[in-house]
Amino acid sequence: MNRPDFDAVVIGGGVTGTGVLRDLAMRGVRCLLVEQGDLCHGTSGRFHGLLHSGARYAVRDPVAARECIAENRIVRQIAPDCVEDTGGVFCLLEEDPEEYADRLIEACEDADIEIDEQAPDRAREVDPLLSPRLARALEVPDATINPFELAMANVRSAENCGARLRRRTRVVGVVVERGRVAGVEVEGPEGRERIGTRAIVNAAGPWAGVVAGLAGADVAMSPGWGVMVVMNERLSRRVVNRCRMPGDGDIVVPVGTVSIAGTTSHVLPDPEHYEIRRAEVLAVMRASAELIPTLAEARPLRVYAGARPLYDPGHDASRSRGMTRGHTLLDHAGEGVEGMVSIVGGKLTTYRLMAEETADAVCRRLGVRTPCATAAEPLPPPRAARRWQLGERLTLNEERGAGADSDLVCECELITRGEVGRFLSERRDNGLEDGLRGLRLGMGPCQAAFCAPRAAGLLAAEDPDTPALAQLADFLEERFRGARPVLWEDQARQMHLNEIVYREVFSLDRAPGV
Amino acid sequence: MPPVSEPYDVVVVGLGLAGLTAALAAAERGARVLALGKGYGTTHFRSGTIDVLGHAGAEVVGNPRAGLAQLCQERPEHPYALLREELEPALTLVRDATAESSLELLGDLDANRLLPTALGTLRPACLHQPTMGADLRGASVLAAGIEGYRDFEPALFAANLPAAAAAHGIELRARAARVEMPPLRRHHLDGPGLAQLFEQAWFRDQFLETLRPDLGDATLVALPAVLGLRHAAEVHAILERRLGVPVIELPALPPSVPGMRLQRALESALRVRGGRVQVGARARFVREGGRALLEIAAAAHPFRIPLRRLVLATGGPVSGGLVVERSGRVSETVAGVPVEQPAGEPEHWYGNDFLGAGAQPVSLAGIRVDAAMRPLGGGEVVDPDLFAAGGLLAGACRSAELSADGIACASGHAAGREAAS
Repeated sequence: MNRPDFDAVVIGGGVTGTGVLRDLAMRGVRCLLVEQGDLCHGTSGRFHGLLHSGARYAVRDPVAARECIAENRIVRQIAPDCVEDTGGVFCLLEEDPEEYADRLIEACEDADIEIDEQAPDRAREVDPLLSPRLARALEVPDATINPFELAMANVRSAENCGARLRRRTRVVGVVVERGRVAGVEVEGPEGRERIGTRAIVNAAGPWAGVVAGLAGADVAMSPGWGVMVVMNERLSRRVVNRCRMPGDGDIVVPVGTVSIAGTTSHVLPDPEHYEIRRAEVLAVMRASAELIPTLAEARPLRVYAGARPLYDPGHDASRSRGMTRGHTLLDHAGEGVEGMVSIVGGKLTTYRLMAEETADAVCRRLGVRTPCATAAEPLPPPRAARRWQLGERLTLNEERGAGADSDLVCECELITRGEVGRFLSERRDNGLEDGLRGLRLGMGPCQAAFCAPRAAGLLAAEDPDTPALAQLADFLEERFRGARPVLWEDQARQMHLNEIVYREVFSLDRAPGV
Repeated sequence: MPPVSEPYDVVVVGLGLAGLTAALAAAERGARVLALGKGYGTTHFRSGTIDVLGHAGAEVVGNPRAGLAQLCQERPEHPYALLREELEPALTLVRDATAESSLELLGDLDANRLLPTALGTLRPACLHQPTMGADLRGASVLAAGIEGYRDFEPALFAANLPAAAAAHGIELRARAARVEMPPLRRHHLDGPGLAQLFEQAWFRDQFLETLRPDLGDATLVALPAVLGLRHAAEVHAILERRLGVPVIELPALPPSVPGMRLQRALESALRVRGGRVQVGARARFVREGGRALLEIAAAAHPFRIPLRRLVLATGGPVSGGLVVERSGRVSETVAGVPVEQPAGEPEHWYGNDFLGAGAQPVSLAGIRVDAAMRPLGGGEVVDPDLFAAGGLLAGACRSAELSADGIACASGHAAGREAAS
């Protein structure tokens, strides 16, 4: 029998899939990751950015809480450049039932999560925009994490160990021979082909049910959709949580230069599309404004929805909040597909643990004895200099001094020509949208009005054959779709200005190829 | 807050194309005019052309006069339906006024001209500045960017212009050059800053010297639209003479130097006709004891102006004349004039695409007026001494039609004349 192309194929380029790829590669397994879109195309790119301390789960799901705090500590160690140590605070308002605060303290202590009560006055010194109705404040080690950098660092680490990555490649079939995995059928930019493998890891998140179905296996997924609203400024230093049982609009996460208010929870079977309604956005803003009152009047930049990859063998769609946030590893050998496993559920915070358990199972199947090393081995550093807030970026830009590379492409987010060039040089084949993912270009208040054509210009200067105007148009459409549910006041005004620039000054809508 | 004593016959709020045209039209009829605004209008964002009608559905309009006739027939609720006779005199007024500042506007209502933009696309315009148009047929175009000026990338222009021209049956070649101007230190140059530099001989000399070796077989040189603010005609003539080939300017990202020229020329013509101009004044219409007043929140101290006739030319959502409210309402910001709301639920005020066919449904919202440009509410004239013009008016899809400037000039002309009568 011929040796198959790979020992293992990982399906899904989210943080979990890239974590599995890294783990396997570090153990010497020849592996390939296939991703239907770009890295973090699904849930990993559309969550609120929180690196959980575990406190949000401590009362209801102590197992998940313990996993969170343990992994929180590990991720800070192995990926320091992907984490901003913001800290988090649970806020009990005057109208909230006080006993939850005491339950939270007790549950956190049981789960080994550091929790410190802070006087409300002191909490409002640190975060002056917190509600004046703050009755109790509890500090926990929440942080924020950049999923794009994390996924890319995982991939780079895996590639250093010989692993391969294929983006824009969709798995359309699983080849099973005599009850064993023999390969996958994929469809990518170069057409359809068969890739031989001895093992398959289904890390497709909300699509896990679809992927399992290709092999005739059953994984009951209930994608739990949540809406997040991006506000145009950082409204707090710390992650602000409501101190009560988790519900809609109870968290505000400072991510980079913005704050993200979230979230909601609706179970819908479709892992791909969720139509965000204006009313849902306004409801999230109203609820979050109870924590940070200025949020009611603040300017939202855009909204997005992410699907939590909830595993729900009971198929009880009414209880998405109550479903466990823990993860499940399913071995499909019992369903006649030996060599295929699915990793479902879980949270970004525990991605490494999920990857470890998954890789352990695959290695057992492959007879690989090398132990997991991902908890101790740091990830490679990111390409862009680490900076979360505008002040840090300003300092960095000042230090770099003058020169073409220091020219700002994006004034909103202080992103330089050198940085855009570095991002595009690595991934320019897939357009501005993919090439710039994670850089925050076009994510500020002007929603790409000024930076996008400059970035398109850099593409054309590099290679005049790039369809730069089509990519520019796609990039602007993406920004528009994100802003569409929040087009009022200043953000509506910005959209109409962008219309003047792109339709009236440039007639981009009539350009050949757009 | 005492009212100022100085009486004006006509007060215009808004310093964009509509407001200045209204003020000029009123001043031409002998009215004492004050034009004020919290800032400038969208002239500074646009191309510095006068777009009357550029697109009709998927078609590029070749003849605006004919296109208008069809538009008015198909869409009787369009502002142009009230303004067809107004366009010709309005464009004449604007053209004459800018000519006084040596800013010629070429073209007429019988033909749109296709003008290249900084992205290498082509756009139709009815009137354009002489620096913008050239015969493109068979041209060998050299696009020159200036190192450090981020808003014009010649490679992007050169890569796209041939296909854009071919779509209109024009064959041409284009290539890119980049001019490095060491004294600029390549740091955050913008259009107006470069425009001032181009008005200085030492800068032009050095620019020409650096560019000349790249000229080759070029029959046309394309530059970003930054060739001077006050003396553009002169700068343009010098560049053409010294390069020995025609030179065109390409409209780019805001701030728009050609737009600023247009605005300055109109403002200057208004002053010559005795009009007063005040920038930095945020106005609110109030009534007190039966008297109509304009309350001005100026930088120094607030004051009130007694009103005889008021023209609102405060623009649409970009300029702030209209605001799309969070509550799901579009409202007028200075006088609280009734606004014809967009059709349907706020959820559907914006379509699925940014650049898709047709306009955003919200664009049709605005103020309905009668033939004398007086706002209507429930079909009745709201106030006989109140007039409206420009981006405020309901019923147009300006960005899809390329009609904003024509509507502004024609409605401004009508409103100014009526207010002064």
